[in-house]
Amino acid sequence: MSQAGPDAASVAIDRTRVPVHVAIIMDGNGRWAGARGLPRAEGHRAGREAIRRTVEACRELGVQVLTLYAFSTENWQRPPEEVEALMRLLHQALLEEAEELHRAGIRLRVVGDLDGLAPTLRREIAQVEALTRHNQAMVLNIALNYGGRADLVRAVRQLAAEVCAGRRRLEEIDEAAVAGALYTAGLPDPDLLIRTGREQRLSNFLLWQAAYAELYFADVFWPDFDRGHLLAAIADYQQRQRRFGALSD
Amino acid sequence: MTRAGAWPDRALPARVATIVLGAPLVLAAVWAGGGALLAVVLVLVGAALVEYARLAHAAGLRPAGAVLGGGVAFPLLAAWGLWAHAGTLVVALLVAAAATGVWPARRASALAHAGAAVLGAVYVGMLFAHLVLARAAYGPGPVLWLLAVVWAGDVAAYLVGVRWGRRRLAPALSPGKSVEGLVAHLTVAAVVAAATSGIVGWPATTGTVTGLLVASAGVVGDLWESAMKRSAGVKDTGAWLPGHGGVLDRFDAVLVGIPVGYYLLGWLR
Repeated sequence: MSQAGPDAASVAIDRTRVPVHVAIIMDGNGRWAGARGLPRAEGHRAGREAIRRTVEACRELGVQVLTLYAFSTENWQRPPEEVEALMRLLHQALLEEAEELHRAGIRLRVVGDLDGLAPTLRREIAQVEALTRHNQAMVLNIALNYGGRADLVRAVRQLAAEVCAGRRRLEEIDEAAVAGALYTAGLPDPDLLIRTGREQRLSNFLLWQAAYAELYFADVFWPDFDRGHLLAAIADYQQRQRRFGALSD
Repeated sequence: MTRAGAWPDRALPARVATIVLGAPLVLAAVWAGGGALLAVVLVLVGAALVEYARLAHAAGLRPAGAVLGGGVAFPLLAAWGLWAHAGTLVVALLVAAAATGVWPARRASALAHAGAAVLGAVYVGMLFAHLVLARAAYGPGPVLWLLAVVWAGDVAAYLVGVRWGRRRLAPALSPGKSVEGLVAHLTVAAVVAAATSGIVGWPATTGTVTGLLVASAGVVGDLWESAMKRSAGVKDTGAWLPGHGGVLDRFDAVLVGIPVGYYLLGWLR
């Protein structure tokens, strides 16, 4: 698997048509480490550097929403030591990066079932969300303990409860109502969905929201993902015709 | 480590010049990473393999050049993110050693010749590759930290050994090394590791322990290189680096210290 991305300076993109919302499935930390004889946790650590690079690049390019798939509802099935290491790393990253995110004008949002997380981590997330809530430069949306189906189930329950309580009529449940009941309420749908690693599947990520997202599979493990790869993905995205089911004219 | 009385002081200026000129080159390459580091490592591996071949020949061994040369592929695998295939390369080297081992010239002591060939490729190529691996995995800071720990101990051992070295550490192996030098080596390495452990994000205690292990590995590397030279009956492995003998002489501690540090950083962080 190639390590270095295309030379960032050599990829030309149209700065006026940068995707509004970029979502990334950050896959391959463990395999990156395995290929180097290192423990998986070291891969997650290197993955954090890749996140830092990507957030900075997206902000600089004018992406308005960046959603990162950090930990899925299925990831709990991994070995306890790895889950623990991941959570510790997340917590540490949150503590260390909060200031810088805020300074860069980035608003942090975390989507997913936070009830499953440690109370200290939950508190920290709430604090950083509150600190950065008025920032305008970019929304950094972290999908944590997130599952696309769980997202939909939760929305359905919420809408059903409103109907039962008489606060909403059955006919009022439309696409907008469902979208508004999802974790991502208020955010535009992703335009470009990137997955690193070698897999080519959605893995229960933003199932509803990604209905018309352009998919891009980068042939690198996440820790090696850099600005060059991001630009290549955006350039590829800009060459596609987005028709949203209609015919092109 | 130290070369006590055996090393006349007139070797010092050349030695210092090599450190002053050579170390920044290696450090700059580590800092830059990528192609620059790979190029420097490939040159070092190439020179070290030539020295190793000379050493082996002096010891009466005939390692096949094709096998030794294969060692150059290790840094390439490391740089291209293909380290998972390092095991395949070792197997390829063994197969090549077996194939070349049936040559009439080597048949008599087949085991020794083939063993020397595979060892050379792995010792020089595979161990040096960890410099590339570590840079790619951890970034420049932790690699410079490892080099600082190894080299600080090395320099301290030399300076203390020259001045105060009395008790010989391993007279049969390397007459210049003293117990005083060894103590200075480990002490200074531990102090440097502790003082700068923030670079790798560690508290001073973990840094000290890792620094001691890495420095000890460096001492092993140094003594091992002396043992190889002794068994071949030569004093210096080459004259590429003035005052230092060859690349192997200068990088003996780094060769063993860096891989140990690479895995310790991975497992202890």
